[in-house]
Amino acid sequence: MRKDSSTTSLPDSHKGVQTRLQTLAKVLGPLLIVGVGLEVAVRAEWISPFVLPRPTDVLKSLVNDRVELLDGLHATAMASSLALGVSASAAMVMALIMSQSRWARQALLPYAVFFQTVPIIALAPMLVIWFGFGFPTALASAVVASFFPVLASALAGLDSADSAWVDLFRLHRASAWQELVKLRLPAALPYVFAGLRVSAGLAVIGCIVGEFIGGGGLGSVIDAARTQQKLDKVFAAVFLSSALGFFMIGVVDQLAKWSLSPWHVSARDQDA
Amino acid sequence: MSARVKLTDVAKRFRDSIIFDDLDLQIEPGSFVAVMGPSGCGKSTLLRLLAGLERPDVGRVQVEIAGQESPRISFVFQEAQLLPWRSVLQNVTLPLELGGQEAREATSMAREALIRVGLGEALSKYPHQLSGGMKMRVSLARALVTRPHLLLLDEPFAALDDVTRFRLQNDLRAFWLAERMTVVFVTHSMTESAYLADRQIMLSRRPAEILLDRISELPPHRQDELRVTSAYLAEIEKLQNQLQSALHSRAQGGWRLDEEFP
Repeated sequence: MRKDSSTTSLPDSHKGVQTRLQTLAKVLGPLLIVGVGLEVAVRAEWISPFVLPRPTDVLKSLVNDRVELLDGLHATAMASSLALGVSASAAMVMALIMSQSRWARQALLPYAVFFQTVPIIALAPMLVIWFGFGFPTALASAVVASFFPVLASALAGLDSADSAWVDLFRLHRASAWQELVKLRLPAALPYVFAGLRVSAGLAVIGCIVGEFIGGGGLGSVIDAARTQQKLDKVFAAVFLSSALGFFMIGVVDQLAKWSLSPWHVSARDQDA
Repeated sequence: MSARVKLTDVAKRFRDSIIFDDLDLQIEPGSFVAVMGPSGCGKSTLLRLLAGLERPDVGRVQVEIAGQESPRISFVFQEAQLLPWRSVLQNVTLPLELGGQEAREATSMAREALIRVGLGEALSKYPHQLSGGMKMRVSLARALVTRPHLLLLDEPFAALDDVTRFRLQNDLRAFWLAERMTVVFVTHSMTESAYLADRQIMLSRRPAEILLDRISELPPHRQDELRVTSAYLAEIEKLQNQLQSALHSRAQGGWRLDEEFP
C-alpha cells in the first residue's frame, strides 16, 4: 500500500512520527513488562541476585560505568562494522569468481563452508597467536563469523537471473561483462542484502568472541565483569552489544531500502 | 529490410527425444508466418534455432539479409520478461545499450518505440506497476526498438484477456505492415493464426514435420471488424478442414484434430 492511499487527514510527517512511535511502543512494551517482572522477582528474592541482576541495577550500571562501557562499545562497533565491510567485499569477490565457472565453484566451495562450520570460539585463541591481542583478533574473528552468509546469498543471487533474461542478453550479443553488470549483479542484489542482514548480527557476535579471548571492546568488559561477579555490568554490556547488532542490521535494512525500493517487493512500503 | 530464413535438413534432439529429424523450411523476406502445432512439438525450439539460441545437430539454419550486415533479430517471450529493476524506458533501451548505442540516442529511440505501443506516459514506471497487457506492450517495444529484420514471437498474447489480446494483435499487424520485417509467430490458437498471419504452418508431433503450409486468403489490412466477417470465419474453417485432411492423409492410424490439440 502506498502512503497516499491512507484516508486520515494528518499530514504525512505527523503520520510518520505517529507510526514510528507506535512501532517503538510495540517493541518496547514486552521489554518493559519483562523488566518490571524481573525487578519484582529479584527484589522478592524469588530469583537469587547472583543469578540475575535487578533491571534497575543494570540501568544504574549503564549510567555509572558509562565511560568504560562506551569505550568498549566504540571499539566493538569499529571492529565489527569494519569486519562486515571486509567480509562482505571479500565474499562478493569470491562469489563473482565462483560464479564464473563450475570448476572454480567446486574448488572453492569447501573452503567457504569451512568459514561457516568452524567453531569460532575454538579458533579465537589461534587468531590471538596469529594477529596479536585486541583489535586485530576481534576484527579477524568477526570477519570469519560474518563471511559465509553474504557469499552463499550472493552465489544464489548471481544464479537467480531468469533463463529468458539470459537468452535476451545472448540474443543481443551482450558481452560477459554486460551480462554480469546489467543482469547478474542487479538480480543478485536482494539476495546480497538478505545475506548482509544475517552477517551484520554475526559480525557483532564474532567480534565479542574475539574480544573475550584477545581482549578489548565490550567482550573484555563482559569477561572482566563476569570474573568480578558484577552481573549488572555484564548485563549492561550484553545489552549494548545486542543494541549494536540491532543498529547494524537497521543500517543494512536502510541501505537495502534505498537501493531496492523502486522495484523489489522486499523494500516497498508494507504498512501505511 | 527484412530477413530471409532457410532451414535445410535440420535435425535437433534433446537427450532421448528427437525434436526435428529432417526439417526443411523457407520463409520469404517480409512475410508474416504463424507456426502452430501440438504442445511440446518443437515450436519454441524452432524459434530458438532461428534466434541462434540453439544450434542444429545436423543441417543448416540461415537467417540472411542483403548486403554485408548481420541480421538483427528480436524475440518476444511468452511472458513479458522485463527486468524488474529497470524502469519501462530503461527496459526498452536495454537492447540498444547492449549493442553499444550511444545513451542519448538510445533513450530517444526507446521513447519513440514506447509511444508507438501507446505507452508514452509510462516511461518512468517499473514493471511491477504495470498490468499484464502493458508489460507485453513494453516487451513489444523492446523487440521493435532495434528495428529487427526478423521478429520472433513465442505465444506472446496467450496469457492476456480477449480485449487486450485483440488490441495487441491489431497493433502487431500494423507494425508489420509499416516495417515489413519478417515475422515468425508461434501460437496454439487457430483463430489467432488466421487473423494475424499471411502464411500458416502446422507442425506435427515430434519429430516435428510440416503437416500443413498454406497461404492466407484474407486482405493485408486487418482490423477488429474483420473478426465478425464471414470471410474470416470461412478462413478459420478452411484452415481447420485443410488441417483435418492433412492429418488424415498423413496417418492412417486415425489421428484426430482434437488429439493434436488437446
